[in-house]
Amino acid sequence: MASEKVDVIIVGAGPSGSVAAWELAKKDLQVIVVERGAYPGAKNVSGARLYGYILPMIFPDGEWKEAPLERCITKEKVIFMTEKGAMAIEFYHKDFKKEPCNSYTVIRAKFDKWLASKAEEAGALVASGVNVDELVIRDGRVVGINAGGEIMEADAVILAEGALGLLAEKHGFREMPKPSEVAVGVKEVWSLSKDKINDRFNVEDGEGAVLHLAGFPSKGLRGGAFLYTMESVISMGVIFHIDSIPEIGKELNETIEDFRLHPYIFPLVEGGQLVEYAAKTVPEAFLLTDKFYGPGVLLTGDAAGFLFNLGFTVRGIDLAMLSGKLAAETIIELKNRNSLEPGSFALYEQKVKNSIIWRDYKVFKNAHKYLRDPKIYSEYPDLAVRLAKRIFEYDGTRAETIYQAIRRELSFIKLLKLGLNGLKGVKSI
Amino acid sequence: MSMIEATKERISLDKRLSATSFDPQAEPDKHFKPELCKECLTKICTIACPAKLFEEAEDGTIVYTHEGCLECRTCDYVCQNFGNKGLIFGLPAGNFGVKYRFS
Repeated sequence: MASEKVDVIIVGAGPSGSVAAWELAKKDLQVIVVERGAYPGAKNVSGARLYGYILPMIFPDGEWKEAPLERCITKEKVIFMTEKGAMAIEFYHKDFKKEPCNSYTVIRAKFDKWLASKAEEAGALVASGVNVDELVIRDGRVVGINAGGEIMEADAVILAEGALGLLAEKHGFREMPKPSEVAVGVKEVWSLSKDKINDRFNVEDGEGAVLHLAGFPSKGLRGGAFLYTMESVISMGVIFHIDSIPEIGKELNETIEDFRLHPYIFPLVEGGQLVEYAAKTVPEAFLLTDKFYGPGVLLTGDAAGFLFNLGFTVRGIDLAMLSGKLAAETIIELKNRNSLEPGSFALYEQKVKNSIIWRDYKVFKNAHKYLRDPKIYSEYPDLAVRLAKRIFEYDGTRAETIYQAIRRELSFIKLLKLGLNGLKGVKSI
Repeated sequence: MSMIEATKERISLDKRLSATSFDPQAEPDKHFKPELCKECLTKICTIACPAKLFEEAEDGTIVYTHEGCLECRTCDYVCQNFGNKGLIFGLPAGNFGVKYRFS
């Protein structure tokens, strides 16, 4: 058994691991990042959208401008779907283009590779193809990792293993998340020319659209569908909560084809070439654990449960990058103070609680509860489409005002309840 | 890899999986407690796996094909919650398994 010691070992070369490595290596700390995939991003499946504000925070000298960002998202579409219909609300704003853009789509295999290359440039060593079996614990303190019997030691370990969280669970930092707290996303990626994507989504070069869908094919079940435009691919898929799977009534893999073949969606991908089929589970309850650190170890990104799902806004990559930066700052500070005793890692908790992560968590902590309301997934999409159909359809048999149409679909009490529930939603997401 | 075009035809799962890159290891990455799987009433892994890698054998046990695993952990979550906990979840060794390029 070989044993060597470095300053910091980071498990996982995703956005939080690579940002932590970049920050630490810049301060001349000896950093090793171990990644189980054949390259950074090989195991990552994501929406994938990155909120732009984080980029200059991590790269104040502007290096982020070289990052492989796919499209600047200027168009957001919220769509209620039924089997035959769709009622969409589209939002465009020119300000979303101001640098850095409000959000960008990214392909993780490209983005994570780039981020890891920045860490390498700063002096970190990124070792891909290495699976960590367990953390090494001595006298109640994490002192390193065990990868296939090979032990490597460090003053501190950053556990940036991502959403699977197997090491976090193995070592008791979190329990297996409940089925109501985990979503599975299944996705198809279609290659299409840049011009076709521009035309079909009515966007300029470099700009893109994100579609958020509720109601179909997840009818009545917690879940939804999504479609993201990349530079020359479209990434589309379905999302279900684990506790909905027994109720789908068909194989999970069929639901994404139902979605692709929906008459409102099909023309968007028609003629594309399938370049990837992917799946991933993500725990959606923010803060799966209040133990996102321990003696000698700090948890970042999805491993710690740092993810917001507000229905139409899902934020994970920015929180991952930010927590990676905070973990690095914690270790740098402890090293400078020469204070690496087991108890001192609580400094990370302070840093997280003083950051955007915690500030936003306090604002959005009820969203997850609200998004469990089954009405969002069946009753409301159905109602939206029925109502819109009454308003836009004329077949010679009836004429009605919008108010009459609403009253025919909804009793006064129902209308009131809808208003109250809408208010609850507006207050929590 | 043959071209798979988006037409109005449904595309078989096998065909869709052929678009994804894999470097499978020789040994399976997941294991089973067959006595538990036999008594499992839901066999939910067989419908939940997005790559449909779990099949029920005649004797009620589960036959698992590890090539094509998308490494999403859906099987583990459904087996623990809605199955009979017969699956021992695992991932391929470092370097092996799925290699996502566009996700």
